[in-house]
Amino acid sequence: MPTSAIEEWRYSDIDDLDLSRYSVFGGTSAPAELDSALASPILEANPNALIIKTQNGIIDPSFAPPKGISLEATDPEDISHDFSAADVFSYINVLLANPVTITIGADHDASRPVVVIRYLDAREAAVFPNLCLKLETNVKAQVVEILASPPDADLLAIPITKIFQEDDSELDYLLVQDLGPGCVMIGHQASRLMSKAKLRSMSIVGGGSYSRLFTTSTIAGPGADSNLNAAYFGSRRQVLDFRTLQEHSARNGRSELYFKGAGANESHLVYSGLIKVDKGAISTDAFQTNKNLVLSEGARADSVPNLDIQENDVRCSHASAVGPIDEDQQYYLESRGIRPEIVQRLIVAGFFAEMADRSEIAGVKNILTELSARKWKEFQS
Amino acid sequence: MSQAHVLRIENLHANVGPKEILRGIDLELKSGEVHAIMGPNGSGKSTLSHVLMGKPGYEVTAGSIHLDGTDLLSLPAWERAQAGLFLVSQYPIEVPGVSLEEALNAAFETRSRDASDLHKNILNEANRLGFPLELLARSLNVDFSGGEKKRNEMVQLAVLKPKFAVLDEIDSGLDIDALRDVSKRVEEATNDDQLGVLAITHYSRLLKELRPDQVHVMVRGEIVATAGPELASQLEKTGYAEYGVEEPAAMAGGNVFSPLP
Repeated sequence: MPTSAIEEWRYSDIDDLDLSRYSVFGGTSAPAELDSALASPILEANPNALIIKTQNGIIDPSFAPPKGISLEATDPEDISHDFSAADVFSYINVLLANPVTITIGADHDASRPVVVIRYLDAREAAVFPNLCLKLETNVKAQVVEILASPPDADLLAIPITKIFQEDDSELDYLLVQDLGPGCVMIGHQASRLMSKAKLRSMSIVGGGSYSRLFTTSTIAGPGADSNLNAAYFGSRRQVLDFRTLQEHSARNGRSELYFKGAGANESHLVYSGLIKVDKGAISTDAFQTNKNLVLSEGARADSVPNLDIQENDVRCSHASAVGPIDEDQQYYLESRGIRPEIVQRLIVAGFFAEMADRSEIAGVKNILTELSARKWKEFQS
Repeated sequence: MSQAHVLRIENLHANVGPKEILRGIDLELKSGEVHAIMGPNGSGKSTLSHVLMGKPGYEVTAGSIHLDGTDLLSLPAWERAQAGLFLVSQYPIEVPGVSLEEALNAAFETRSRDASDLHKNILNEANRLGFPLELLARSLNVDFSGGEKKRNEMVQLAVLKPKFAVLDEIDSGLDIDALRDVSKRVEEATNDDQLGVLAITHYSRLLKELRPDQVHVMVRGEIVATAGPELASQLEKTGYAEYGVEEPAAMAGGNVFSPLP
């Protein structure tokens, strides 16, 4: 078991995790419908979506994939290999999961977003969702992953999402995490982009007592472009923990990371990210920004950006900010006759709303609005 | 005809840190009137605007500010705004992710004012002021030009309909067309809504568009002269030399030389 004495787990809540509370989920569960206010804007805004339901990691057996989509209950070993070594939890996932691989091919109707619902309602159990998304050459797609539980769930979720994009493919990916307050998540999302592939990813994280998301993106082919975004809002005693790796293994690649979090009450935000440019990855552009709004005295944010550059001809930057609401913004809006607490709510909502144009998936703006409204309410209560 | 209101500043002294910036300001402004405050750099003009609005960081050491019977100094900024005061900022602040309509909606909500015509009013005022409609849904002041920022301030003023407006160097960063549009709207508000205006400026250029009833000269935190609009023309010729300040400050078209913040 890792401990917070290891750099990768520094600032994390790992020391408080009591694995003996959870058994490995192995059974079946009574079918249940998704109930997530955070995710519902996606379903409302995309009535034509292709919905793939899974429950506790197991796919709905009645699902029949349409043209352009194929579904396999195996984990492609070549891709899996990259991830199993990430940490002990990913390793266990690979051993225990019921993997689902979705391959999106040339016949896919790009106007139809694919929504994968991963509903988790096991009790006192550890669940291991494992999804592999493959985009074939030249394919364009939108994929949404909803990771949600009932509000009273008590589980340990160890999800892995692997994205593999062939040459010239374009993916808009969205993760909506709406786990109940009794859940712990230790998740891993990884992408590998071949030549000129484009990824635009957004992760919106609201739930869990301890939620960790390790995001890695590898520029594996020349000219690939990875755009990684996250929005998260901690309340009460939540620990929201983000680790990122932008790895450039090929030349002419571009990666841009923009993670924004707000922390209220006694919550704790963690961000630690690395840009790694391998030898040979010339003409790389890599950027990393992490911004944190700390809304109360008891809340805390740690932000640690890092660079590891092995090549000369690169443009890299990182920026991080941790602070309260900007005083000038506060005064400016108050001077229009707006009550101070409404001003704060507006500025925080704006902090997240500003992220909306970083995704082309319909409904993202409303999810961000819902995230900040819900968390603001928790903050004030 | 709306009711007549009075903004009364008496013996106002204020410090920034240990330094006294305002050293006894007296001024009375009534509904429908336009008063200009002119003065060289560092005379305390902008401090006066911030002290009026209640910006944190300014300490009032003596004196009073009343809007009708209301003691403004006892109120925080948002309540001063509710009492009917509006500040057109010299440097409007960027607020990412918050649109003009969201801000005004919240301002109406705080005032418990009916916002059902708000959207229509905003569109109408944006058209009157030449504010590009596509900017209405964008983040307040983010990537706006100097002229767009001031027009945006004016849309807010026109929709909120305050009793008194302080225009802090509204001419800085404005080209001549924008200056004319903004001045015209201010003048209409003084006529139609009996808005009282305190226009703070370094240059007489603004006062050619916005004809003041009274001009006050402020030097070193005090009002040293008060007269009719002819005082502005005189300052344009002579500068502030006769008040002991070596600065040819009052020239027209001064925007090019506009001081940095």
